[in-house]
Amino acid sequence: MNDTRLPITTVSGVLSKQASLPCDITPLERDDAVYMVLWFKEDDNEPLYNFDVRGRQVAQARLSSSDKYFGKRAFFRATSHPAQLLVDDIKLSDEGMYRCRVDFRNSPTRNLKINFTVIVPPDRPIIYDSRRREKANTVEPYSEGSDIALICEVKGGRPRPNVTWYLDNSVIDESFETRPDGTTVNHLSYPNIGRQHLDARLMCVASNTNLTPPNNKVVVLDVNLKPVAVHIMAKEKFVSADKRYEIECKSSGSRPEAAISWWKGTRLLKRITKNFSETGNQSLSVISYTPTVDDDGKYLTCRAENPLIPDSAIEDKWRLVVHYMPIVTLKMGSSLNPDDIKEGDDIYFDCHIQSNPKPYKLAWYHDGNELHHNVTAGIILSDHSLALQGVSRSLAGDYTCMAANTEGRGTSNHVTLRVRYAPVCAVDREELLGALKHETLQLKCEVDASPPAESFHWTFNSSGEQTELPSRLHSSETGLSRLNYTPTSDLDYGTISCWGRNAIGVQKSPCVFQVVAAGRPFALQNCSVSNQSADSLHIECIEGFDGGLPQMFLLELVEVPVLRLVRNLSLQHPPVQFFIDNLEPGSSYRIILFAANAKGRSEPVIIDDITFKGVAKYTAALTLTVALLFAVVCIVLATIYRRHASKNTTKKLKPTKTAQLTSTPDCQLDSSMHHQTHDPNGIQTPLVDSGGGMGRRGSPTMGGEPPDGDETDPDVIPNQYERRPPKTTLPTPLFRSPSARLIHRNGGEHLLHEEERHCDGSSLASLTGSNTEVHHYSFKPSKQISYATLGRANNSSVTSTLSPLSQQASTATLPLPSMSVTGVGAVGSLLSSPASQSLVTSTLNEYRFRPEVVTTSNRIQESCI
Amino acid sequence: MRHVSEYALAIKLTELRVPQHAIRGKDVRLECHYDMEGEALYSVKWYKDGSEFYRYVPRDDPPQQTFPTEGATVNVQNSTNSHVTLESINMLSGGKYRCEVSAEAPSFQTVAENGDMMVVVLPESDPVITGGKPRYQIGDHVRVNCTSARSKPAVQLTWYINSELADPSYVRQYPTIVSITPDHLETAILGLEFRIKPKHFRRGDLKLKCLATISTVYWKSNEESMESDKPQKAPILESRKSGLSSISRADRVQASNRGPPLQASNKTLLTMLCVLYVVLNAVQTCLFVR
Repeated sequence: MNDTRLPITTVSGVLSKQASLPCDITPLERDDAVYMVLWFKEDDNEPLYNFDVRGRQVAQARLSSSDKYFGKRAFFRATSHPAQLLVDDIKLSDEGMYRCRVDFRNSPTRNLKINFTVIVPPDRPIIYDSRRREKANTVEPYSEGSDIALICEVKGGRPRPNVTWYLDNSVIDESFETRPDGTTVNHLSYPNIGRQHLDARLMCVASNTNLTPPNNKVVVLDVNLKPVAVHIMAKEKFVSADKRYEIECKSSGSRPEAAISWWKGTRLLKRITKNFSETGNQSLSVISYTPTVDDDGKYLTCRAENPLIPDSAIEDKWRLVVHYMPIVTLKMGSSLNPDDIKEGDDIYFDCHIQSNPKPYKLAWYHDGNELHHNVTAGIILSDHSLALQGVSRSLAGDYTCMAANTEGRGTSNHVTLRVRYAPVCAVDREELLGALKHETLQLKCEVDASPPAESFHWTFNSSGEQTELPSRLHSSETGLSRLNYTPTSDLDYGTISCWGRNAIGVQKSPCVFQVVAAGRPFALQNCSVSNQSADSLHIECIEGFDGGLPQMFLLELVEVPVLRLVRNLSLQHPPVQFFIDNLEPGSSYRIILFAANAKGRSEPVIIDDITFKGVAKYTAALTLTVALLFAVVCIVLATIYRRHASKNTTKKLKPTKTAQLTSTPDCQLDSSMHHQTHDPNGIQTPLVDSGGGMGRRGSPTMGGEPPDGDETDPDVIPNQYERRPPKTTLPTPLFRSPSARLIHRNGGEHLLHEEERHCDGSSLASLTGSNTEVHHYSFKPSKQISYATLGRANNSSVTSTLSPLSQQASTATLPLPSMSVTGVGAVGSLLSSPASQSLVTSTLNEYRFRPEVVTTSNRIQESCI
Repeated sequence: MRHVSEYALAIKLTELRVPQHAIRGKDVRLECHYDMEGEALYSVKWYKDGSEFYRYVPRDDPPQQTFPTEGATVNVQNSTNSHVTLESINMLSGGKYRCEVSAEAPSFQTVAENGDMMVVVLPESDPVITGGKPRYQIGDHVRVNCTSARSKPAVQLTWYINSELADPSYVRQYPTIVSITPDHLETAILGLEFRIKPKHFRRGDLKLKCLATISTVYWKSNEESMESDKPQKAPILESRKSGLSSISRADRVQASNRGPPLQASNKTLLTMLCVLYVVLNAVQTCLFVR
């Protein structure tokens, strides 16, 4: 049937699918009808299908399909327009040229040609990456900005398929090539993947017909994204050093999550960061950061980067302003040699301050005390320095400077200013020492000096004569010198001075020791009653000067008004504390306290009106005061009298008012007192001829002086007090601790002898050590008075006076063999004399302002008489 | 179901007779011979250029049916199941004729054959030689044209010199002239130019012949004879006509057996020999076409 004039229809069918071969059987004429339809393939004479409608309805047409061709696979559907031969399960061999011959009843036969082609779909596309690895549903992530290079390969297909790349339904690459091996390949190269391509569908489509859906393969793009933003959340204007800050940094846009790192300058901060991931490609990092002073001005950088994308890091920087307490350094002026600053030099300090913000205050301290600008005192504060003009040693010490800003105060190191000066006495008082003859005293001379004193010399001064003491008597160490001094005669009592020397010079004012002959102890001081109950009490006193000898402490309890001695207590050692109990309630008592040594007893301290029925403590304070004062006057008088009378060696004394006040009759004091009492006119004389022993003492000048009211008491050693400078506000002489003295005295005889031998050949007289000679030691009563009085002045509640009863007690208690009981005194009415009271008061006032104690005593003495 | 083996003896189309050329205005008989090999005939269909114009279906009443087709007017009385007669063919009758024979159910085996037919319009007159002179001398230039009468298709002109095919270099081709008549008849012209050489004269004569042919259905020639200008012979100018009557050439096979009828011509031996030559040529041509 190679008649080219026949119309040819081209029809395709897909392998294994159904195909349709059209054939129009509609007659041209209305009254015509189909008669027969014959299907032929190519030049085969035998029809492969016939449709015979002759003599029947179309629906009942006789059908026949040749097994040589379609067999059961074919069915002619005459009712469709056009009619079609439906062929199932198309095979490759079905392809070819078909002819359909339609016979009509009345009109010419219709011959139609159908060129049938069989389409074989291609295999499913396979996507490879550039390394020819097959990709499943996703391709490995592409980094933002990179290029996609993928290969889509499709095997088979007839005709060869079109292989096309789609990106989200739009064609991006239609260029494919067919290889001799029958595969069709499309190399996709898509540049510059961006953020918008995340999760995009990349599809390779292989198609060679539109009869069936094309084969395709989809991969979803995964894109690694660069971080877009990074922000340090709160950039404070400033931060404080050493305070902990939690600083947040947020980054967004990175996929996977950005790696955030913190940098200070170029240094990576590691341990103190915490990272959190948040939703939507966001990440957060918190740094726990404590700025330091050194961080001021540095940059804190937060860096976010996608570790999978090189050069993806972005940064946010924060210039740190760190506020901190001032850092203060103090230096002495560089031109100064700190080891060579003498009194009078000008010096300065520099205070270096490192601070942010600037300090609002700068202060200077000397040993912790703030310094103020004072030009007259030579203290000049300028910008950052301190100048001291003409430094004195009082300005020596530690210096600091302090700067304050809003962050706090910073104090510098301290710089010690050492001012070199000549030695000065460490103790700003004279020391009073009592000594028996041949008793060796150890004097300790301590001086302050810078540099410390290297050498010392000692002088003895008596009656205006100054004698250098031989250096063998003293031993020196740094800043300290000791002198062993043994008076052997009356002439050896006097003022001993100690002078230190260092590189700066010799001490200007020496350290002064008054060595006096040993005497009676001083009265107890500051006696107070405490813990008083219904039948007991506690008394505490401070011991006074021991007079140069070991002292003991006595307490007498006398019931009043009957004056019966109830209790008698003694203490060998301080502290002076007595406890009395088992007292009768309802009774009143008087307590008499005194100290005693080998030279005698001190003035008593009387505490009156102790009543054990309710609290009746110190009720008659005023009365007691008066009584005390009166008693003191009387003692003075008695002493003078006693001294005066001692030469006569009166064994028996008539008990007079004054006599009652005296203590031991054999005391020199007593005798002189008696003497003076009885002969008021001989005041000036008695000392000169006081005892035979006394006569050996070389003090004629003193004794020869005419008696004057203002003149010194004609005592053994009056000069030391006369020389005392008036500026001394506290005239109390320094005396060595009585306790220490007491210890020293224990077994004193041995000591004395030893020292005696040691002091052989000295200018001092050697100590003979006989008991009788003890009597020759006398103590200046006036001094004692003043001492006691002053002590009283501080405590009006304590009254000291002489008690007639105490005489007996003392004689009984004192074990010293040299003491002898002279008599028992009766109670004198002197205590209550109003005249003497007023007199004493006036004298005291006078005394208080005048150093001439002895003169005052004399007056009292006179008035008392 | 049928099996292929059942058709071991398939129907055959033994002969299709469609004349190659047919003279316009004449009737044409188309023959289609087949062997049914025992099968019943379902239909014989005749197509011209793919369009059915005649069918013979024995089960139809009447079995013959014609369909109007240009150029194919069927004389039903002179048509049967094996031939069809076209009446007075015209220019549109030319084309591809197809005979398709189908067997009856169940096989519906179908065989078919095609044959092409061309319709020819013969020239009404012989070709004419123009431009010749009575006498020529050696060295003279001969310039002549042969012009045919109008025909369809155009006649094929050929020059002979002394009964020999002219040297192609002497022949001048001219374009065919198509008439503006509805049937677009064509006039052919062929020129001959050459310089006379001694060999062109045979016994003092030079003969120029123009042959006009249309396939095998038309065969006419015209000849002119020229004398040499030499004094020894009296110049003769003789014109001779010859041709084959293009009678209907219904059967080429038979034609080859019988040969074209000869026409009595002049008495000269040369002419006789020439005629014989032409006849032999024609026989050869017929055999070649076949």
